[in-house]
Amino acid sequence: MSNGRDARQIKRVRNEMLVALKLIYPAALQAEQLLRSLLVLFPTLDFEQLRRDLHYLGEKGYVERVIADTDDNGLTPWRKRWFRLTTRGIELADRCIQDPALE
Amino acid sequence: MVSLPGVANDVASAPRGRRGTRAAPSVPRSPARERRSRKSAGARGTAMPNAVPVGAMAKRSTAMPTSNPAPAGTDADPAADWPARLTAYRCRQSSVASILDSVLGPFAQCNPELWERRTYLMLVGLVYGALCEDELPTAELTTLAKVLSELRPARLRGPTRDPATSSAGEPPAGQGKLPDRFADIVRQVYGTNFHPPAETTPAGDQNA
Repeated sequence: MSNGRDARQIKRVRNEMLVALKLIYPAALQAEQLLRSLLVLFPTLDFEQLRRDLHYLGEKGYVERVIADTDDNGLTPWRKRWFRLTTRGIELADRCIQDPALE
Repeated sequence: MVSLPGVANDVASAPRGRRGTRAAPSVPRSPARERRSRKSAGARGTAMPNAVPVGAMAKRSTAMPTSNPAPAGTDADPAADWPARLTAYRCRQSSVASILDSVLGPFAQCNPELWERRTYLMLVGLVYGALCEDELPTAELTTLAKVLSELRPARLRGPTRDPATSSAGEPPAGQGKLPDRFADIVRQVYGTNFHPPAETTPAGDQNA
């Protein structure tokens, strides 16, 4: 399911996701915008990989979805969903805490 | 196949693919162009995101800033220039973030509820997306970020007035020296008259 990505590559992508979200914290980014930004660094990154990584970071408590007032919670496509760092996420991005899985 | 000076024959004669194409001069690739390239690659039935015509690459190389990252190879290949690419990418991201903070940050600081609002999110996302496109060179973005950062203290001090349009030495109404009387200060600040609390004075008792 990792689509041929090795561990280092996976960590790089996840780290850069945190960096991009940290730069605009406390604002949020759409998944599509995040992907377009990361494509500069990872030209073969596809959206399914990004979605898995977003899901992973969300379950670890580093990223949360922001549901706008006008969003339909269940029907918003993934590409249009907004994400931002949680407090734990910003701590990790600032290297205040450590996560061996993202080193 | 374009033969490049300084490139070994084995590289130049390598099968046209990721490494073969990327042996060309370092050319940054924008997300939008990446998607367009992917679409065109998909239409041609190829899965190579790097399959870009040589002419297009040459045209792109003249339009791109030299400070942009040059994604040589693919992300599957830990190329030796990864630190340089990463540095250039983060430099651009940092400039974009600085611009966003300068332009949209004050809104968020004054009203945290805006973070949840679609309008604010849309603005941040749209501006971020537009700035991350490589239509704007990184150097220009960096300059803009610096200018905005330098303007910030002046902006925080408030708008500057043209001395020619203001009367000599007289601050405009509502600014400058406060009135002497407390009631006048209240009237100026709140727009209403100040009514001191009723005190029981001998005179008041007598009037009552």
